[in-house]
Formats: sequence, C-alpha cells, structure tokens
Amino acid sequence: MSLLINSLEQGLVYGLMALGVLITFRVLDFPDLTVDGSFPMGAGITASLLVIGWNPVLAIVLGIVGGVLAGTLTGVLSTKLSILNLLAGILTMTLLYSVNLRIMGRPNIPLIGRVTLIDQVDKLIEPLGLGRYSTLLFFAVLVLSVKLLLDLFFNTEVGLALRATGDNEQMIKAQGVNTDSMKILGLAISNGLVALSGGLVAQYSGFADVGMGIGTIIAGLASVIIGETLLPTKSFRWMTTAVIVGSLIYRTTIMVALRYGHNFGFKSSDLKLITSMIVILALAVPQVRGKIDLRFGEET
Amino acid sequence: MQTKRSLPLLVVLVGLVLLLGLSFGGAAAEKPVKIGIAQIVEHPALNAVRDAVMEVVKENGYEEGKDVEFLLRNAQGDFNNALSIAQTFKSQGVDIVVPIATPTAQAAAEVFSETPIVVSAVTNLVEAGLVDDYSNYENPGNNGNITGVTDMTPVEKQIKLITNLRSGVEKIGIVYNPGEANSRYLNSIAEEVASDMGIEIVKATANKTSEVKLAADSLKGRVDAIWISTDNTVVSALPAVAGVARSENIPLVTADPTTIQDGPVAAFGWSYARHGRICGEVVVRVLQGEKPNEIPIHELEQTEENISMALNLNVASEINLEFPDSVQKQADRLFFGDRLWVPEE
Repeated sequence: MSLLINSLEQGLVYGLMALGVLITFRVLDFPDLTVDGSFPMGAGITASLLVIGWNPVLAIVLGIVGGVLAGTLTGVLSTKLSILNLLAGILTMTLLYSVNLRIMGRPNIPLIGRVTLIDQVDKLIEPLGLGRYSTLLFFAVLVLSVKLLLDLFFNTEVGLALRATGDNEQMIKAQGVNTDSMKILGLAISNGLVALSGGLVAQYSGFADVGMGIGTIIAGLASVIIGETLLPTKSFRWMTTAVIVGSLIYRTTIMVALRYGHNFGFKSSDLKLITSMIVILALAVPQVRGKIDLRFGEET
Repeated sequence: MQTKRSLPLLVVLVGLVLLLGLSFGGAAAEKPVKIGIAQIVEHPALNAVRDAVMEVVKENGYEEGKDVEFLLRNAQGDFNNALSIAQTFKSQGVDIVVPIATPTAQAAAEVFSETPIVVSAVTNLVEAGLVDDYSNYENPGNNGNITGVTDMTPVEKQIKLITNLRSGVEKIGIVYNPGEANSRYLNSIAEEVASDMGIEIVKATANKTSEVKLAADSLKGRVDAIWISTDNTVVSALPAVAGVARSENIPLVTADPTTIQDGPVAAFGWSYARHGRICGEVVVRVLQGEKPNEIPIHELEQTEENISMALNLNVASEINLEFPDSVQKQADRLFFGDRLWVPEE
C-alpha cells in the first residue's frame, strides 16, 4: 500500500514536469530539450537556498525563476538567432550543466534532515489526521491547482494565441500576433514548471545532484504520449489531465518493475528494459483494441 | 466515444493498482533477513563492491535463500530511480539497506529512519549529509541508523609516490568530472597536499567519458605527471588518459590498483573489491545484532593488507622510468608483458 502512495506521489510531482513538456512538445510543437538542464536547475537553486536557511517557499519560487530564465534563453536562441529548435534546447541544456555547478558550488547538495516545504505542509495539515497521506494530498492539491491555472491561462486571449502559434504559425502571424514572443513565453512557462518539479523532487528525495537531469525529457515525453494514447482528446483541459495520468502510470511502472521484475526472473540490470516494455504494452492496448473492433465491424 | 476510448486506460490503471496493492499482503513468519543492495549505475568498481558484500555475508555462514535474501536493484544511471528503489525496499520490508554511492545512500537515508543503512563507495559521509560527523551519528534526519565504509583514498601518499617516481615534478595534472561529489572532495585534498610540497595542480574537466580524451589532451605540455582519483567517469575512460601520458613521457598514477592494465605506470590504493569486503563485514556485524551507531564509520584502514601497489613495467620502460627500490619493495602486483604477476614473498 505504501508503494502505491509513493507511486502516486512521484507521479504527481513529476507530473508538473510532464505538463511543462506538454506545453512545448504538443502546444508549441517545439521539441525542447532544455528540461534536462532546467530540472536540476530548479533542484539546485532550491537546495542551495534551503541550505543557507531560506524559507522553502521563497527557495522554490527562485528555482522557478531560474527555469523561466532557462526557457527564455532557449526561446531567444531559437527566435532571435534563428537557431534550430532542437539545437537551441541542446545548447541551453548543455550550458546549464556548468551553470548549475556554479549555482550549487558542488555537484551534490544533501537535504536529509532539513526542514523542507513538504515537512512544513505536513506539519500545517497535521490536525487533519491524514498521517502518511499528507504528502500525497499536498502534491495532489498543488498539481491540480497548477493544472487548473494552466487550463484557465490557455483559454485567455494570450493563451489562445500561444496555442495557435503551435497550430498554424503563418495564420496567427497574419492576425498580427508576435509569434516569437509567444514561443518565448511558452518555453518560459514550460521550463518554470519543470524547475518547480525539480525543486520539489529535491526536497522529496533528500538531495539535489547536478546529474539528476539525465533522462528528464524521456520521462516527460513518455508521460505525455502514454496520457494521450490512453485518453485521446483535443480539448486542452483533457490534455493536461491525460498528461498527469500518463505521469502517474509511468512512475507506477517503474515501481512495479523494481518491485516485481525480480519475481519474473529479471535481473537488476534489466530495469530500463522492463519499464520500456510496460510502456510499450500500455501504448499497444488501444492499437490492439482498434484492430479487434475493425475485424468485428467487417464481419457484421 | 469518450467512454469507449477510456476503457483501455481503465484496464491499465486497475492492473497497476492491483499489482501494487498486492504488496500489502504476505509477510509470513521466519523469513530470511532481507538485504537490499541499491546501486546507482553499472560500473566495474561498484559491481565489485556489490559482489564482495554478498560474498562476505555468505562466507560468514548466512545461506542465501534460507538465512538471508539479497534484493539487488540498479538505478541504471537515472538518479530519480534512487528514490524509487528506496521506496520499494521499504514496501518489501527490507531489514538492512546497503546503498552503493552517494545518491542511493541519500535516498535511502531520506526514506529509512530506523532500518540500518550500511553505506559504501561514498568518500565523505559528512559532505554527503548522511551523518553530522564521524564521531556523532545523530543526524537530524535519522536515528543513528547509518554507518558504513568510506572509500577515502590515501591522496597524500599518491602525490608523494609521483614525486618519488620522477624528480623535479613541478606541475601535476588532474582529469576529473566536476559532477562527481567524491572527485571534488579528493581534488581539494590533493591541492592542499601539493601546495604544501610546492607543487602546482592543473585541472582538466570531463563531464562524460567521451570528453576524457579531450581533457587529457589539454594537459599536454603543461604538466610533469598526471594523477587520477577514484573518479568514476575518468576511470571508465582511463586508457585515453594513459595514451596521453605515454606520448608525453610522463608518469600517470591512479588511486585504483585494479586499473593497472589500463596503462598507468603505478596505481596505489585499495581495490573496490577490498572495499566491498570491509563493507560486507559491517553488514555481518549488523546481522549479528550490532546497532549501526555502535559501529564506527570505517575509514578504510591504511594497513598493508588493505592497500596495494601495482606497477606497470611495460609503461615504465616506454617512458624510461625506473622504479626506486622502496617502491619496488612495496609492489604486490606487477603488470609485465600481457600478464599480471604477483611477486612471491
């Protein structure tokens, strides 16, 4: 049972990062690799500030600011310098590795035993008597609020213009919208979310490490794709829901692989194989179902 | 349409929830003691630690499957998996956690506040935030449940060895990964030692194995010798550094004697297999009922038994280096031709 709670907690906290990836990959149609750098950046800034005694909320907010700046840089590289989208992200991600080392002053900052935002919230809602569910509740409320804010924002005039930039850049340009600004804005929001996720993950796992960004984009993309395969939709409100569900499933698969892989004769070195296979299986379900439907239709 | 499409989603969700829900039940009496070994990445040194820990536990009469059960998990380089491993260990009721390397140790310390944790392959447990200091185990985050073996290497002796091998060394080059916490710490010691001896340290950084060659090349013509610590990234690509050292006719000294075949002229320190064995001995003491806070954190004892000096005679002749008698006497492994010799007593 505790494992299920942990899986949900992880799915939610990494879900924020997946929401960021959704904004770039799906809404803006911009394959942004900055996240592998902005995730540890959020973690690094938050951890550095916590260690010198900052208030956890302020520490996280500054982490988000770091992510926003990183996204802005990628946006500027892409729009103002006309650097290929993919390359712009790679450049920012790469330079962030050194920047993060500078910010942190060392490769690894331990947070074990420090009072984190999670501890503070746990204490705050202690009277509710939730026990071990309190962190889950905190993450759920936080992620839901972020999701609702995004839903609201993407239905405002600016939000709609941002979505249109990804859908049909020429058309929206003709309407007099500055698509460059839209892209920069989208990347900034996206990486701000990723940094927020990183800052929370650092506090949740007890350390920030400059190497913790490796594989962020893969996890984010997997969550987005699992979500939209299982919950295909065009409405933004459902897309954000689907991504969070996708993230929950992705994190749960890793837990399942770690917990039960051994029972099926897998070795510890097979972890990535098992998680990939579970993801493939999840993605295959709708395909297989579609085929069965088709055959059924032909017969009648 | 919407409900029909969400059916597979439901199936997947229910399946996953059921699987995880299962972890609930079970737990019959008289089960073997569960030892959870959490490794951060596949790496020869770390694999050696893992194998040695299991070996020592079994040698001490604990039968695998009957008395003890080993749960081996590997994060495969993804730091985020370190936490997942610790959490699954908790749900499986692991009795002793053996994290190998810093991130897995930190995640274990975050998740387990009572269960004994025996840390290995961490150079400085205080820097890693695992304990407050080596004499006082009470960390605000744990209840004295952490002990372990540091892989602190005798930096000073290694630097002195370099000056023994070549006279007139003024500049020593270091290739390291700035992303590795252990390297940063060892470098700071090396710099201190060197400055006391009037030697300048020249550093070159490599963030990944593919950059090691480039970093080593950048030292060409600028240093009189190269020293490599227990940096995982650089050790994985050591032949690239060795090539540069040979072409420059300068000695390369490493901290891990098992690397001697990869081309350093001398390697001085302990092997990770030995490190793993000492860690295994600590695990056995915990199995026998000792509390972690009663077991002092071992700085691997720098005794003859633990430390080994390996010399590479091929490289020595290539760079015209003659080993002083004192060094030769100390050597317990010689690489010559294509064979590793262990000198007779």
